[in-house]
Amino acid sequence: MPLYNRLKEFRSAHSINQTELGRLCGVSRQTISQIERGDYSPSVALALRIARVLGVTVEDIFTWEEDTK
Amino acid sequence: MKITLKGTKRLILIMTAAALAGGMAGALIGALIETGDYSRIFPVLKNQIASAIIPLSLILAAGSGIFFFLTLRQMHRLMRKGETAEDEEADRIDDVLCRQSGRIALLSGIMQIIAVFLISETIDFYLVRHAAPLGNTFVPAVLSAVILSAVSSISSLRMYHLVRVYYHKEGEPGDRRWSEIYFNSLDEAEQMTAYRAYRRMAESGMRAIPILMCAAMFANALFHTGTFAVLLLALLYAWMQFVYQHSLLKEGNRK
Repeated sequence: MPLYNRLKEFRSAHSINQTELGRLCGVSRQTISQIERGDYSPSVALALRIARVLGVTVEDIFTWEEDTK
Repeated sequence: MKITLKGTKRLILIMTAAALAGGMAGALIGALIETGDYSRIFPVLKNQIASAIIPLSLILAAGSGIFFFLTLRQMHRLMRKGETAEDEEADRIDDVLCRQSGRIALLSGIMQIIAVFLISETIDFYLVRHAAPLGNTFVPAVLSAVILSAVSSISSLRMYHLVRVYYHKEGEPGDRRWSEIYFNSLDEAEQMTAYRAYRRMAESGMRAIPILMCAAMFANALFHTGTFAVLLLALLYAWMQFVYQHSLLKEGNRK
């Protein structure tokens, strides 16, 4: 899956752990962990929720590989 | 240096299995030499297994009971640790918990199969074929099956309860449609994981059924075991195909 993310970076900048971010987004800590590791690509709704919680846009967090080339 | 009992436990397990296998092989050879009729190897082997299955079941129940108790206690301790753990440490704890619950589920499944086999064979032997008067091994056999079933069920339920509470999920096994309630309480990534696991299970099932059908047909041709198993597997195969095709149609027509 050529989807890269900077979720861990943004989460660290906000000084919140996976459990807290998961609670704010309405998902489990395991889901946040899977997204950070690139094992799971979130739905549009969840990506928007994460972006809203972190105060950034979806494109700031998630990048499609072709866009980086 | 940290001393672990991992190797010792494995050694005890191997030694016990080897002792049981050796004992059974010795008894089989002894019985064959005594009768002098080597063509009766399969009936003699069947008798050996039949006479060994009750003590084996009780040993399995006792061993599994200890294993379940220790594993559940370890899971409980890890869960308490996991409540305060963060990120990578919590991931590591989740991995261990997943492996431990998998081991409990697998062993519990094997125990249930043995319990069902034991009880059906006992009923067939004593109540259907009246091969022997009630008594002798009837009570121990039924008791072994009940103990096996009880140990595995209680451990599985306890494990399920611990996991459900730790991951804040809903649905108790006592609830009607509890698996549906549990599945609905999962978030999107967890549901995806469950879908993938179900898909692998279905794929392996669809691959295994035709092989088992061939094995059952050969067994019937060589040892006259009957065609009931073949029929049952064929029905199962057809049912799985039907459910798959029906689900495809239903999902495709969803508005």
